Amino acid sequence: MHNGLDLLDESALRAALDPQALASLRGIHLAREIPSTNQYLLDSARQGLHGPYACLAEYQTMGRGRRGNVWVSPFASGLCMSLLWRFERDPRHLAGLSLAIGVTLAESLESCGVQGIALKWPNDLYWSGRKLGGLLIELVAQPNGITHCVIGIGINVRVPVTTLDAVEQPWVDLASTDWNPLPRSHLAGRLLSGVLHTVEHFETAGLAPFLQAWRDRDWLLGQSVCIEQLDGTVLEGIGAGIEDDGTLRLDTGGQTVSIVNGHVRLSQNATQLR
Amino acid sequence: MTVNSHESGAMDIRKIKKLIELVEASGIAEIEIREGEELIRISRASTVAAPLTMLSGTSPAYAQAPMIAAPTAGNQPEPPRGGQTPSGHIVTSPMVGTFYRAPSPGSKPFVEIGQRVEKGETLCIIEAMKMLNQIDSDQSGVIQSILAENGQPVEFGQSLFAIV
Repeated sequence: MHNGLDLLDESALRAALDPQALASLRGIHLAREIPSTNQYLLDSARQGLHGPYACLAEYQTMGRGRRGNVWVSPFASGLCMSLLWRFERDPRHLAGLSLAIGVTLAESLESCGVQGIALKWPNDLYWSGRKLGGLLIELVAQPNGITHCVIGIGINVRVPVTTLDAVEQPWVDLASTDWNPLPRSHLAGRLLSGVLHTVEHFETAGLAPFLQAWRDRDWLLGQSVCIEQLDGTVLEGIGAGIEDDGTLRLDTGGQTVSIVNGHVRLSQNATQLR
Repeated sequence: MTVNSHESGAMDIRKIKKLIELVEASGIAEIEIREGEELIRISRASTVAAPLTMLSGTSPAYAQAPMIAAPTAGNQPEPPRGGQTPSGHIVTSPMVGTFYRAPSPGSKPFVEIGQRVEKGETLCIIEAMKMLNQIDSDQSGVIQSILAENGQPVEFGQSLFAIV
């Protein structure tokens, strides 16, 4: 797989799932090319598809980040993977799920040999100050208390250097870390197993069991950060950890505020590496 | 949008339909037209219990349905105009987060005031900690008012839309 393309293979993926995850997964849709793995599952859920169901693609033509941002991943160079899960809870009880999934991905990657993964609130994966992956969770609540949840995961695995010139923020791929290389199908199986366990655990226990593991990897803790609000105002302060509900604590100098949303970045003069 | 008429017999249904389309396109809250003995008032923001689900211009039920409310006496209270206390079915926020009217910045809002929506149609997105919650309409009808501002925080249970 070091030379030539390491393509996704469904039987290899299934073989890499742990038995419990394999038993719970209702199906896998593996595509060469798809507009968006998240959108595929959202549409399928609206048409009555029941989770847990996974969708993976070698390439997304309309890969999505948050709020219209584009997720760029060249063909077969990363993992573009989404999981549909049906929560028997309303969205109010799902606050913090993004943090729990972030922790799980970090732990799964660590089990593949990557050391020192940090989490940038709420759920970006960083290594050596550069973005290794991220996730995007989309929810559709039903009036009966059921919430369809699609968890989209993007991980840079082995990305040709020249192709991501357009990406503004510093990024890194797994191949540049100290990981023990795995075929992408195998990696996908491991990550998916972890995520399946986490959603099940989260459904009954919420964010509490994941808080310590998240705090241990808090990239913004003690750093000078800027948070851009939608109206253009910028909050500046020092990362002061997270609340038990997953909101970000920002020390603005004598006052600590809790942040639910906003574009978070390190201040210009702050150290990028940790 | 509702339509009140003092006399339903003679005014051409196509003419009424045309008027409704004009009002919808114009953004005006209410129009009253008198033709001899006939009076028609079209209001975008009425609480009058007209059969709203039949007011879709494209619905086949439109032409057959008793769209015009029964003749009313002159002492009927004025229907409230746009901007007043919302009535009808209220869609509330299922979580704390940021309210977005469009799928992404710069794109067209999911819905506008006066627009007809079907049950299950997406009305807005509430974001919290990188979780984007699509809020679907739990009722068919017409968007009477939008009660939260794009990009602003909303609380659990806060009113977002009124649908009539």
